[in-house]
Amino acid sequence: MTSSAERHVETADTIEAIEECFRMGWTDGLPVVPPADYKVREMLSTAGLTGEEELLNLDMRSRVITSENAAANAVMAGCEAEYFPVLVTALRTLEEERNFVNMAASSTSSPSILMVLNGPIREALGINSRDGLFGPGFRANASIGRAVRLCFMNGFDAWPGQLDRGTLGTPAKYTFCIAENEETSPWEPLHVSRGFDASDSVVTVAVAYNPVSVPNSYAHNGRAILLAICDALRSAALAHRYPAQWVIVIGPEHAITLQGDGWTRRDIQDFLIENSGRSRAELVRLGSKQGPEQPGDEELIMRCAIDPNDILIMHGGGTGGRYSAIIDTTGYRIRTRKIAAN
Amino acid sequence: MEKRGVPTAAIITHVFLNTAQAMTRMMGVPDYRYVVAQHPLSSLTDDQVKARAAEIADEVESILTGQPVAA
Repeated sequence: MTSSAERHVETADTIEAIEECFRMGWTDGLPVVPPADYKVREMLSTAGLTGEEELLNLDMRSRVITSENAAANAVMAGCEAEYFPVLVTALRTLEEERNFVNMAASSTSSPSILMVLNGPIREALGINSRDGLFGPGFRANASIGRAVRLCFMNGFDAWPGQLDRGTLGTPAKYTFCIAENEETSPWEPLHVSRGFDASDSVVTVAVAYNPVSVPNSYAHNGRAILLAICDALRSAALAHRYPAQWVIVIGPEHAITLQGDGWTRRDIQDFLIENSGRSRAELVRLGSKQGPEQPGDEELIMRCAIDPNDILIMHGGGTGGRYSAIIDTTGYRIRTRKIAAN
Repeated sequence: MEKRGVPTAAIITHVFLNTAQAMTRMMGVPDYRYVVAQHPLSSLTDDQVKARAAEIADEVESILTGQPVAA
């Protein structure tokens, strides 16, 4: 990206500045907050950064997102300054596996960047973990996820039909940032299950596809809820990515039933792997795996995952309906990282 | 790979032409040569894939060797 100094623009008023951002091609289609210098500095100062740090280097596009670039996009996305360390940590986490960043910024399969927050930062920043989990209404969820997308669009030229060749795109590309509801979860928090202390504030980052809602309203036992989730997992739309990593969001009413029936996290992981299989032959016939069918394909059962730890179980969403959700991910290994203290 | 001295011929399908052009401009090599095959590839039969390969083989060879292919 070029530096902000090279794009310094004076405008008569704020509305005109917003329109200028449209003219400059800096938006995802919605209005952005004009990235005034003092707001960018405020972001950087909150994270203890100078503006020079390289956060995400995409060498195959000869582009680097610096902390200043990230801060400008965070301002444009509508972030408050205290959200910025989450964005910085997420970008640095993506940097750990650059090849998939290019995939995330270009693939015809239209992945987005999922961020799941755990720990005290959820409360501090007001990140929603309850009603309308994936939907609008919460500044932190909306703007942190949006900031990542603006970084990709403005930093890596990930524009639809140009370098982003997502065939259908996804609403999750506008924003895809949630928190876990640790308080009513029957299980230990996601980040604790991944080796962190409960008091750590962390972000789990995945290159992921849109959430698929799994209703189960009428079968009031844990096994039936999990079978409904397996049915979604083994759909031809998702099975071509077998074996993969998954984020399973168990909704509150499903969680109560599962808890009542004594299901542990590990029990759920094992059950989903055991019951989500589909023969390779079936997947070839559905065009989900490349053919032609080989001898033995009818008996070759493909599973949604191999390692139980590749199924991340978390708790979130509102009460009132009996829904959970599954999110499939790409080959990028899901990572959980502590958010820097400042 | 070419930066490492390995002769390389990149192949795209024609629907990705604008993306390839954007990428080579971004990388500062707007004249970079690559082969443009007809789309699609993934839904072809084995025989159709072989026919596609035959169509572009000369151009791949030309890029790899840096020489025009003799008629």
